[in-house]
Order: sequence, then C-alpha cells, then structure tokens
Amino acid sequence: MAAVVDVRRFSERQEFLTSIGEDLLKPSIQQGNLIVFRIGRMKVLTEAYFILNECYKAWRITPGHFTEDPKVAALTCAAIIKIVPYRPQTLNMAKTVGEFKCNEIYALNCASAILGIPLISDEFKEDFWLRLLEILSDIKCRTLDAFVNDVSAGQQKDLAFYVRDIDPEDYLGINSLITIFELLCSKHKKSKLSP
Amino acid sequence: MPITKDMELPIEPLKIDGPAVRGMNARKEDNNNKPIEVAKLVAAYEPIKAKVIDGLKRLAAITY
Repeated sequence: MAAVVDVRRFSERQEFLTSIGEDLLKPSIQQGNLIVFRIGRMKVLTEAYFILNECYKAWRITPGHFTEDPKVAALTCAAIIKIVPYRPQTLNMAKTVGEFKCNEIYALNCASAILGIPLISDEFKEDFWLRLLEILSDIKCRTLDAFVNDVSAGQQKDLAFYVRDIDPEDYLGINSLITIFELLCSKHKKSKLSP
Repeated sequence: MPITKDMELPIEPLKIDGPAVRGMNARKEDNNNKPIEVAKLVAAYEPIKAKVIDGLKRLAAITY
C-alpha cells in the first residue's frame, strides 16, 4: 500500500499544528500556568490527521481529488479531540472554560487557521461558541481507536495499516463539523461581500 | 503555560471536574422568545414555500 503522506507534507503539517498550539501560550488566551501543552503528542496528532483524512477520502472523495478546507478543518478538529494534546494542570479544579475546554479551543484555533476566518467573532452569541465547544467534546472518532490503542501500547504500525472504513459511529460527528464549518465559511464570505 | 515533551501515555479522554465544568453544564442560554403564533409561521412560510418545495424535490430525486 502507498505511503499515507510524504515526508515534506507531514513535516509541514506538524510544524503548522505546533505553531498554532504555541499561540495558546500567549497569556491573553490562557491565563497563567493553567494548562499543559503536551508537545510530545504533535507527531501522533499529525499522524492521526493523515490517517483520518485517508479514511475520509475513501468514504466520500473521488480518487485523485484533494480534501476541501472545511473538511480538513473538521478532520483536524476530530484528530485533536482524539489525541488530546492539552490538559489542565489540575484535572479536578477547572475554573475557566480555557481549562475545561483547552483541546476544543485549540481545535477551533486550528480550524480558524485552516479556513482563514476568525471563527470566534461577535456575529454569534456566546451561546453558539460554547455549544460548538461542546459539540467538539462529543467527537469520539472511533475510526482512530486502533491507532490510539497501538500508540498507547508502544506497538504502532505503519500508518497505512490504520486506513479503514470510517466507523459509522463517527458519521454524525464528522458530518456535523463539516456542515458547521461550511456554513461559517459561507457566512464569512457573505459578510465580506456586503458593504 | 508549561510544555512537556512527554507523550503522557496512554492517550485517553480527560476526566475534568471543577467549577467551570459544573457551571458550563448547568448554564442557561440567552433565550427569550415570544410564544410562537402559527399564523405568523404560515405568513413567513408562504413566500418561500415554492422555493423550499422545489429544493426538496431536487434533493429527493437524487438517484444512485
């Protein structure tokens, strides 16, 4: 089976995801030392994304076509929630949404960068964004279970081994995220066109 | 914010608790609608009805 991704694309994506993760270091986003960035997971996160992308492409994309941005954003978010690159310093004392939803906030940050739109804007009520964080929390991404289990057991195989059918339990989460990002992109384009 | 190169295996969902968890789960949304009046729904639907039906017909007719 062909390699899931070439070295250059992989390395660029890992750097991209890491640099966005480092943005959250800025004290304006996360106050104090409340969360921990597990930068050691960034390689696994990038691998998870490319596995998921191949699974998605086999499911929904004509061979030879590239994945559209809202889909890239959705799959990146799903991989982030599965790999959990952040954690609060203290798991049982989360006082802020930034601690409680640190991975979801990172996922939204990545989605913004991929879509090129400021996702957190005043166009929607705070309720909308809190609800979106909760939708992200509920992404289970069962499709990546075998990969995550093997990584956790120190028995990771070649990435191509983990390319399989999207787990039917993931249909709702992936379809929902893609739809939300497509609507946000459409709204952003319209608001840019209006005087 | 601290950074760790340790993968902190196993990879698994976090079990987070605290005031933010309880507060966010118990929150009420900014929601205060007037009771819905069917006459208004009908009035709003009528001008778009043909377009909606047309779109749904196209959607329903997709054949594999």
